[in-house]
Formats: sequence, structure tokens, C-alpha cells
Amino acid sequence: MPAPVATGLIGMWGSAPGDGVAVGQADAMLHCGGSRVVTSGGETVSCATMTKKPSPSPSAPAVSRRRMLKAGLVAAGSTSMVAMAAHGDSKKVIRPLDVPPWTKSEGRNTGAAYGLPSRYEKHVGRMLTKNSPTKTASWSFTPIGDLHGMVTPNGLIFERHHAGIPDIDPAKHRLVVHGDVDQSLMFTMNDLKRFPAVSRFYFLECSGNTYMEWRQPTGGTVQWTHGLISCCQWTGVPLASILREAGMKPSARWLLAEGADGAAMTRSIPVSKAMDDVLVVYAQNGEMLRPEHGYPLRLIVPGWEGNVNVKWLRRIKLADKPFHTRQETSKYTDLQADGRARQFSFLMEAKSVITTPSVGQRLDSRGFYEIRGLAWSGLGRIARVDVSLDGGRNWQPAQLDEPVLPKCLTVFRMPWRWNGDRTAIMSRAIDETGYVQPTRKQIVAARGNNFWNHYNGIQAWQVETDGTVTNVPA
Amino acid sequence: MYPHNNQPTAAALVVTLFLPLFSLVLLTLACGQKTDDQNATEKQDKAGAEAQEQSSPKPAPATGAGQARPTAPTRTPGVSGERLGLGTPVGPEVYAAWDIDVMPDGRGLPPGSGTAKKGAKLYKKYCVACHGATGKEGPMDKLVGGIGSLATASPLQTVGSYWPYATTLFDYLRRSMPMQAPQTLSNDEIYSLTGYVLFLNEIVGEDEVMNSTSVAAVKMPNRNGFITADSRPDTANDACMNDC
Ligand code: HEC
Repeated sequence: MPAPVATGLIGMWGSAPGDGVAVGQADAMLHCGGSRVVTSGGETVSCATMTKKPSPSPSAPAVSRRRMLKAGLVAAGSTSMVAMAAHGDSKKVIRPLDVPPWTKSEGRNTGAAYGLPSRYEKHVGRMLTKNSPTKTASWSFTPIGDLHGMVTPNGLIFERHHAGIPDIDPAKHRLVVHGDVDQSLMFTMNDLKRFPAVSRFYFLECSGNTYMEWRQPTGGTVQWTHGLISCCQWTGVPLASILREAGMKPSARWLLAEGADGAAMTRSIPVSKAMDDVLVVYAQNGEMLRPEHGYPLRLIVPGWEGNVNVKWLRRIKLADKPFHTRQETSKYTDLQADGRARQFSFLMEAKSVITTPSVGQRLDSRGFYEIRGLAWSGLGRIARVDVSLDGGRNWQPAQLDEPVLPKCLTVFRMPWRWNGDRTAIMSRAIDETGYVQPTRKQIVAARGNNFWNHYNGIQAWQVETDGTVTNVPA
Repeated sequence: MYPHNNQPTAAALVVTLFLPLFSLVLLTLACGQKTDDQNATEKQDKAGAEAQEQSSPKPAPATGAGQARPTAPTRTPGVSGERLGLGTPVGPEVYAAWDIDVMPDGRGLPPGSGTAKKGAKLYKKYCVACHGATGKEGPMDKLVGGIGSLATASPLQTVGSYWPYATTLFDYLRRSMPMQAPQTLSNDEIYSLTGYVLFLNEIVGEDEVMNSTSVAAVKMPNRNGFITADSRPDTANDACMNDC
């Protein structure tokens, strides 16, 4: 894990003060660091001076920025630097381009067995929660504010484990299907790969995603507030196909899914859902599952809380009733104000969040920006996402990126010209069943304040006059 | 109502076929003006509905009592239409070591027995470091206390105050605890530890025998504290567009 350095240092977004980066300069350095070429006022600018001493450590880009700050090199228009300036920005110092060293030399060798992101992207990483006393029964967040599109890269998918990550030999792994079936069956990984396979895009969201915002805005970045969400193309076998092999008895109404990890994670799932769209998958985004996401086999239960998507799947037992395991009594239940708790509340209802601009990012100057975000619903497709640029008074439909798939992340976009005023921006998802993402107040009125799970309130970010972004009540 | 335990019925099948249409109507009502994206989505909907009609019969997500809450049609991924003959037939002797789940009615509880008194010694040996001397100290999950706190502003959810079934405790201890060495204790030891955690919560006596019948018979304080039907949607945002 890289040190939690500034988030949101991508593209046109500068970083907030306190990260040790000055407005304008941050952008310039970023583009240099990322070896990108930036056009400014029609000219192409490169940053050869920035990369003469490549920094060896993962967090070095941040360190060097801080050092430069100390050395006073970040004053706007400093001669050692090139300030990237948008149209209409006064601090414009454009120097002639020189030819950078990477153009004047041979690059690194071909053939790294498994490629990794550029070393200038080390600040993009999962972050571990501070709220668990153990690192095995714990969780980490996806940096959704730093990502693009609807697919989450395999190394950045959020984690939630209850007894750490097992190291499973796929040759020794087995799936057993038994209970209320005609014939108990055992499958090897090779058996499972012989089934007709399907590949589907689905989001995966921890039921506790955004739980910290339930009582009040935390001030956290979008990675902390909404980072227990990811989306992959999953490849495997419909559970219905596997159940057909064993033959379900009419008495079978629920199934127990069990993991092979040290928690032997177990959840009860209704057979109706199993026959609808549940998958037993071995691959994500084109490659075998990562160990932390269930290697070599896991369940994908589209649109339902992450915990039922049992990882390291080893056993499925059919029965007439739910099993009332610890996870579905003690933990993944929702305590209401009256002291009673909702159980088997599997669905993740429609939700959305603006990822840029969001906390930790900074607007360089007035003018054009694209507001971007993610929306999803456990009930089906996103039908519409509305964005408000004035604190929730007026709303307009955003543009949705294709493809818009059921129970999948959908990217929304809205062009915006920021006039420099302080304002709160927010998004509101509507799914194809007509369900509208609620406000925090509506949720609290319905459920009280003791809930942890299934929070899907509208999230507001306040853009301050200096371009910084804060987390405020919607 | 979000249904989660419906069974296949003829009515459900009818719902499957008409749901897509119904959600289109709802969408139109809810969204007033339509964007190009929505029109595209609707086309996909129809394609999805057709694909679904061709696929094998399956239980549809029916709507709950009195409350129309259609879930969107899902495109059933390629479920194989016939038995393929994959997998190896096996009997319980093969998977016995994995078949460790216990149900609230006691199904799955193994032979053996124990008492809280015996459990006290085991707890000191295997559990105290993480759950504290009396189960209240942590640093990991608190196992004791909180009875009567669930409806207050600071509820404490423990085995004693929150768990509806003692069978769940046996099941969980056997499969997951102690954290660093799960599935290493004997059934007798798990019965004793179950008794001890219940004893710390003042639910069973120190010498009460815990076995395959008594664990299922324990009456937990919060036995009736759960609502198993999903009462959502429980919010109704009107999606106001102007001057809200
Ligand atoms: C190494 C630390 C450790 C040891 C030793 C340990 N536990 Fe745990 N225990 C945990 C953690 C961590 C959790 C929460 C796991 C999770 O988040 O899923 C837990 C959860 C539990 C729970 C569920 C609490 C709830 O309300 O959901 C019970 C009951 C429990 N432990 C009992 C025991 C008993 C009995 C022993 C001794 C046999 C034991 N534990 C030993 C760390 C430990």
C-alpha cells in the first residue's frame, strides 16, 4: 500500500492545499510526472526539467512536491516551472518545448510477465479502514475518485474479509452441492470450467458502503465515503446450471453458500434468487479471480449486498429454511429506532455519487469542467441521473455513458462552467423501476440513526470560492 | 416490498412476462421527459424481455402483498437447458468434515456435550486475549452485555442482547473461532464454550448441559427482535426538478 497521499491528482483536477501543492503548479507537475503532454492555448508543453531525477519510492512524487514547496519553487509563474494555464487564467508562462529524455533514449525492455501501472500512479491505491482492530477481519476502499469508466481494475477492488485472505490451491479446491437435491455432487475447478460459461458486468457493493455518512458528513474523500463499491465483468457458470445437475427437491427454498476461508463464511440465499441471476464465477475482468476476491471460486449475487457474494466458495446446501448464520443475524441486519432489526434485507437500492469534483480535489480556475460520477441500482438499470449545481434547488438530467447495464455501474457526465461562486453539487439516481435515490433526511426518518447498512442517501460536495471541495449535508 | 423467498408459481410466470411492460409504464410516469439514453434503454429492455421469454422457466421476483414493486427484468445468463453430467456423485461420507452448519431447530448439531463450567477454562485458554476476561473488554467484538440497549441511542449488539438463536453461536464458534485456529476444537469443547458465552450473558446456568437438544431449546432474549420481510422501499423521493 502506498502512503495515503493526495487523491484526485488526475487530469484537470488539482489537489487541495494541505497536500503541499499549489494551485496550477500541481497540475503542471502532475502532467509532467505522468509524462503526459498537455496543450495549453494551442501549444504543446512538455516538462523535461521535472523528470531528470526519477524518484525511486512510491510516495516520492508527493515528497518532491512538498520539498519544492519548502524551497519556494511553487510561486505562480516561477521560472523553473511551466504553469499550465487555462484560457482566461492570468498566470501564463509558456516556454519553448525541449525534447525530453524519454524521447532521446531507448525505453525499458519488452516482456514483463505481468504489467503494472506507471510508477507515477502509485498514489492511486486501496486504503485500509481505521475502524477495525484487526487486519484480517477488516476492509479497504476502492479509490473511485481516481478511476475512469465503469470497470474497476482487479488490484483496486474494495476488500472485506472476515478472517483474512486464504491461499487456496485450485487443484485441491472442491465445490460440494448437497442437501435437498436428488444427487449430491462434487466439482473440481476443471469440472466447473467445462460448463457453458457466461460473462456479465455487475457492481459489487458492501452493505456498509457510506455508513459513516449516516449520522453526519465525515469530511472524507469519495474513496472513504463511497469506496466500498466496484464493478467487474465476471465470468463463470449460472448457479441454475449447477443446481440443475444436482436436481433440486421441491422442498428446497433456501441455500447456504459457504466459503473455504478461516471464517468459513456462510450466508443463506433464497432459491428464487439463485435461479434468477446468481453466478458461480472463477474470473473477473478477463483473468482468474484475485485471492482477495475469492480465488478460485466465488458467488456473484447481482444487486445484493456484498456479503452474500460468498468468496472462496466450497459448499452449497439446499434446505427448506434459512440457516440464520452469524453474518445474517449479528452483523448484516439493520437495527431500527424501535430496537427491532430488519433481517434478509439483501437489496442494494439505487445510489449515485459525484466522483469529480469531490473532496481532496481542487478546481484550478473558473471555467469549464465536466462533472463525473457513478450510479447503480440493485433493481436493474439506471434510467436517469439528475445533477444539481445549486445545492438541490434545481436539477437537470445528466448524460449517461453507454453501456447502461442492469445492476452495473453507470457513468454519468455533465458539462459545467464554474463561475467561481461557492455552491453545493449533488447527484440523484433513478432506476428503471422508478425508484428515486432518497435524501439523508428521508432515510433517517424511515429508519432512525442506528442503522449501519444499506445507506444510499444523496451526497453533496461543496465547491468553495478557492476551488477546494468539502463534504456537506445534502 | 422486496421479495426474497418466492417460489415458482404460474402467477409468477405471468408477472415475468408483463413486468418489463409494467416498468416501462412506471418509468414513463416517473420521469416525465425522456432523454435519448432512456429511449435506448427501453429498446434494450424489450430485447431483454424477449430473451427472457425464450429462456427456461424460473421463479420471477413477484411483487409483495398489496404493494406493486416490480424488480427490473434480468437477462437470464445462458443457463444450460439439459443435464450435462458434470461433477462427481458423492455421499455424506465424503463431505462430512465440511457439513458443519446448524439450523435454529437444531438440525446439524453434532453428538457431544459440555457445560459453562468446563467452558470457563477453555475461554481463558483460547478466547480471553481477544474478547477480554468477562467478554466485555474487547479488543475484538464484545460478547456480553447490552440487553435492553437496542432501542436507545447507543445500542450494544452482542450474543446476549441481539442474537436470536443459540444454535447460531454453536455454528459460528465451530466454524470461525478461535480466530487464529478455527475448526480445531472438538465438538465437546464447542458445546462448553457455547455454554460459557451464554452463561456470561446470564442466559444459562453454569452446570447446564449443552448438547444437541438443549442448545436449540435455549430461549434468547432477542428471539423475536427481527423482521424478515424487506419493508423497503421505505422512502419516497419525488424527484423534484425545479425550485425544490
Ligand atoms: C485472535 C483474536 C480472537 C480470538 C483468540 C478469538 N476471537 Fe472471537 N472474534 C474475533 C474477531 C476479530 C471477531 C469478529 C470477526 C468478524 O468481524 O467477522 C470475533 C467474533 C466472535 C464472536 C461473534 C461476535 C458477534 O457479536 O458477532 C464470538 C461469539 C466470538 N468471537 C467468540 C470467541 C470465542 C468463544 C473464542 C475462543 C474459542 C474466540 N472468539 C477467540 C477475534 C478472536
